[in-house]
Amino acid sequence: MKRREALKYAATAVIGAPFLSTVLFGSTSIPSSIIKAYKPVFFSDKQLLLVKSITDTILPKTDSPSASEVGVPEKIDSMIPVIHSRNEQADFMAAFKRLESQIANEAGGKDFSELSEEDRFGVLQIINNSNSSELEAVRWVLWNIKSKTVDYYRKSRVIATEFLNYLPVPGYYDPCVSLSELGGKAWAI
Amino acid sequence: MNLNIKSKKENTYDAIVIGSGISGGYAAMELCTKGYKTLVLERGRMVKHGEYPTANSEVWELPNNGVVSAEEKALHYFKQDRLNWWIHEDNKHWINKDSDYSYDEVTRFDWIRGHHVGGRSIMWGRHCYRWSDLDFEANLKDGHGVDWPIRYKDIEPWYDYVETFVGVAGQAEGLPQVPDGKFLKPFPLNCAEQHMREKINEKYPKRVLTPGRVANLSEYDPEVHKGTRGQCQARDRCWRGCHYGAPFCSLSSTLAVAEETGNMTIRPDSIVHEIIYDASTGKASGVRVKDANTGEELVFNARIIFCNASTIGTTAILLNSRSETFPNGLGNTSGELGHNMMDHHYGMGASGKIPGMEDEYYYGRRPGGFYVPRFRNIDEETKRTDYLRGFGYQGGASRGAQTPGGMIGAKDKDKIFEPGDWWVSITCFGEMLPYHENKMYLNHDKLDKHGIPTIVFDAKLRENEQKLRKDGVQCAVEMLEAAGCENISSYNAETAPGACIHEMGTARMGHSDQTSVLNKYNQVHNVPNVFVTDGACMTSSGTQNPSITYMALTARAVDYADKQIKAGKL
Repeated sequence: MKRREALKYAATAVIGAPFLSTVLFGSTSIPSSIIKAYKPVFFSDKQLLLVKSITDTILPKTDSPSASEVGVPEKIDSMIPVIHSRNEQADFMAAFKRLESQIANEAGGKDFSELSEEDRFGVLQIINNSNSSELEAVRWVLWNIKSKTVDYYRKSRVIATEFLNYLPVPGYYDPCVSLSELGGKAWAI
Repeated sequence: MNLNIKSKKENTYDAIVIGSGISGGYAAMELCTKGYKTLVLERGRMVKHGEYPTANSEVWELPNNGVVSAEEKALHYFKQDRLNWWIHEDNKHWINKDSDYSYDEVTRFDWIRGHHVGGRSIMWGRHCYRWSDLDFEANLKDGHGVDWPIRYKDIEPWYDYVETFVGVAGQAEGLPQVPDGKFLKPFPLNCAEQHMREKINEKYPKRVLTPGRVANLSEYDPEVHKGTRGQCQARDRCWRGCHYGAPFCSLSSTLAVAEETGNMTIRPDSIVHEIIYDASTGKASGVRVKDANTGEELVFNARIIFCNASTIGTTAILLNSRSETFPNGLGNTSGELGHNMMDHHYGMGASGKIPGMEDEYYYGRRPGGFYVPRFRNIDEETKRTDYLRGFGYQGGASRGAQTPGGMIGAKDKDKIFEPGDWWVSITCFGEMLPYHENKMYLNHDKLDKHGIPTIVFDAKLRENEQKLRKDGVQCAVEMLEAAGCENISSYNAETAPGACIHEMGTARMGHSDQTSVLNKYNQVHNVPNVFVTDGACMTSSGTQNPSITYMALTARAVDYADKQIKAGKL
């Protein structure tokens, strides 16, 4: 395959993929009863709702899906017991509980998930920017959730195949191409 | 009586090859194409080319995003997982379980194994660098270890021979310390790496950043690359097994060619635990095998035996082959069997950001990065007073995913779809001297589940390695500085022997049966029909990735054995 053709193919793959996604995924049309069917393995049901609000504040729905639309909160929940030892899980949970109460404080008695997107963003920024040494564990767990959110988001099928440059079989290697020719997007894999 | 004769006949071959990895596969191919009826014994399960269950899986299709759970690691990979980049969902079926086959350590040893047909040739790193006389003369010159019984001129034609078949992509540089080979077109440096090459060379003319020389078919010629090979598709999923047959691997290349001859019998699940020595002939008569599934004891006989069970596997078999003539292991007249354990050591290097080149990117996933050949102690000008030998580097520059600071939100979200800055990482691989004190041995009181003695390791890095490491880090930082990198960070986290998966030595080649196990043709000094051509044969470790040297020595040894047989001498 010539370079030009391949680049064209890369672009088509990105543009062409949304059709597939409506057939195979259709994230917005999954009945809520199915979404509710996920049973968290690490967080409680209530905590998972908070995780969902946090991830959707970090990566809200724009012209691309929100974090929860591609399954990020569930992935965070299911992966914690996979990647962390029991001791690390206990530390994570302890820090998360402190994050819960810190968010409740900053939300001024309101339910965080009921706040506007802007207000939720403000709450997370306040915590993230705080200098208080007492909040070190809280900042750590928030940063950890943010990193996981971005990572799992980019590694989800929909984002990788539709919103990044995705080519499972590039066919050859070209050491220098122009990013703008690739639509300014990063390679998915 | 008749039955016994028949049974003996059925179990008799011209040649036996123990092991089906990179050197065993090569031995099998060379023997079979020369017309020898060859039995290949592999301790692990059968795998055929194409049986690569994860080759096409995307990260979202693998269990747990490709991560093996902490629980599973603790249960089955408690030793090999100490090498923290190694075990993943996409390759764990190529890694044997520590819970099935463990070992003991006086000092930590990361023994990375793959028990299956093809061995570690499926998931090897594929870098191929020739050794030079700088390496073959090193022991003689500085007095460590014993002198290599060969020089570059002895192996040069065999490098030509195997590189042509293997298919090594690389760039000629005219460097005497890492001689040029028979190269396919390289996987070229990307823009950032080309910039680094030029800047480093301006300031340090002896430091050459060149495309990694990797055994991936950047060009495919079916007349030359026999077996079931194909053009590289730039997927960089080599270690999962490649349906295209682009990376060199026993399954798609040597074993496929051996199979075509009709002379190969391959027997998986066959654990060789002893080579049988016949004092009346002064040769080995065959091997004792335990069937891994049934536990049945079997004997196979042959005129010649190639032992290619991997460095540690080979030496364990030789140590366990005790007889009246060789009470301490087959051919162990020198007492060196199990000693002089080497590996390369790494975990030291640097990384940094390369500013600019915002519109420069790359297409495809290259199956290997760049290489910086050794530039210390190569001549009078580069001679060090603080340590002997040298080191090389592997590395790569790329644009990783970009994660904005803060809490992202709608305002910054689009940035996560764009590539981030260029970052480069460069890792040093150092030579390890051959120390008699660095060793492996068998524990005859602790048997594995097959009733075979277990292995104990006692090997560590010593003063020369420590001093070399410091300079390796310093030079890495200097090169990144010369290239204009920012945010440079360096590291020096010592690795245990084994962690580089370049374990070498323990049955070294040499001039004499009083100081070494093998002669210059990889023949056991006092047992002329047994050859060892895997990493166990190495007399020093060099700085280069060693597999291509094992293959060259293997082809050379088979050629020698064949000529000896035809001359009626073997």
